[in-house]
Amino acid sequence: MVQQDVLETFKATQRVGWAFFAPLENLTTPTAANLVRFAGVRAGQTVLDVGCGTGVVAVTAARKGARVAGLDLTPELLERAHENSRIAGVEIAWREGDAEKLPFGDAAFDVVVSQFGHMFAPRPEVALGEMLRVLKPGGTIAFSTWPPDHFMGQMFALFGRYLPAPPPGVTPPPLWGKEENVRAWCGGAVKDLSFERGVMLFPALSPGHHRESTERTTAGGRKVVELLASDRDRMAAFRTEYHELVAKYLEDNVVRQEYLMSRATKV
Amino acid sequence: MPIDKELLDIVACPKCHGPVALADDESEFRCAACRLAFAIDDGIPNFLIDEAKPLANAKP
Repeated sequence: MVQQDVLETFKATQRVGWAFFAPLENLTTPTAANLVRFAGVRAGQTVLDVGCGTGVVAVTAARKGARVAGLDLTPELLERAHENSRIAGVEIAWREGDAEKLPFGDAAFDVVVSQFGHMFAPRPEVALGEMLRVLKPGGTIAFSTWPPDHFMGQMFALFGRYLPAPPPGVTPPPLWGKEENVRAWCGGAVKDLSFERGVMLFPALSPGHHRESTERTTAGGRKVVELLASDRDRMAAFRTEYHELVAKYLEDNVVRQEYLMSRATKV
Repeated sequence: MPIDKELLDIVACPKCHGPVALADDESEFRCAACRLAFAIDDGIPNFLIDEAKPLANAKP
């Protein structure tokens, strides 16, 4: 049994760590449309976006005529999400909350989605259990995640080599990017589980530009910089490794970041 | 910004999943069963259980 306070501390760190993510919404905007299409969102449906960040998926669904709620742990991102819905001229129920303790009743939504969001909750079975709890029977769950064997998964693994190990009971987020894990975690709660691959295109003038963005905007990148600030050799080693990794995926000033989309129907 | 009335019916207490009521002044959601008040800042309710206030001490 995992210590509850350890998990709460982990979540508090995540909450602060992702506060600077908003500039990356330019990259998550096209992939948001891909997820909304994949989930088959239609006008009139009730839709929940878990780990909504700056609200790109929620706003896309609302512009299709769905009634949408968006939930995130980080207030700074919700402020931007609120701004995004205002600019788009749509009304969305933004909620600050925990993917493992959703503030919604059972079977409240026709569709539950998450774009690179719920995968950061510490316990897959708990977050997924909550997403399925608030989903109507026959409703659609769909999410985008980073596979461990592609660029973003490799980047998380690189962070892992320079950061302290996460507390016991915290599942590495890229495990959500493996079809067999998604299948196992969903178990008999869903039917018609299917998968599709997508690509996020990240313009970058050089590997250094990609690294600089990551160090500024992501929880892991910020943590590495903070931790290695007084250790120049290790910082240099991290940055060299990072550049080598990005270089493998950088072509014509674009980093190709492959992701996995999963979709299923609640039984 | 006012709370979206239409979406109120899909909100619930994160602890007991039961109904929550919007305070008359729209400053918080309240769960009568758990005796918890969830503050609303700039139109965005905070449903983190650790940050909820005990309802007994909430403003009327």
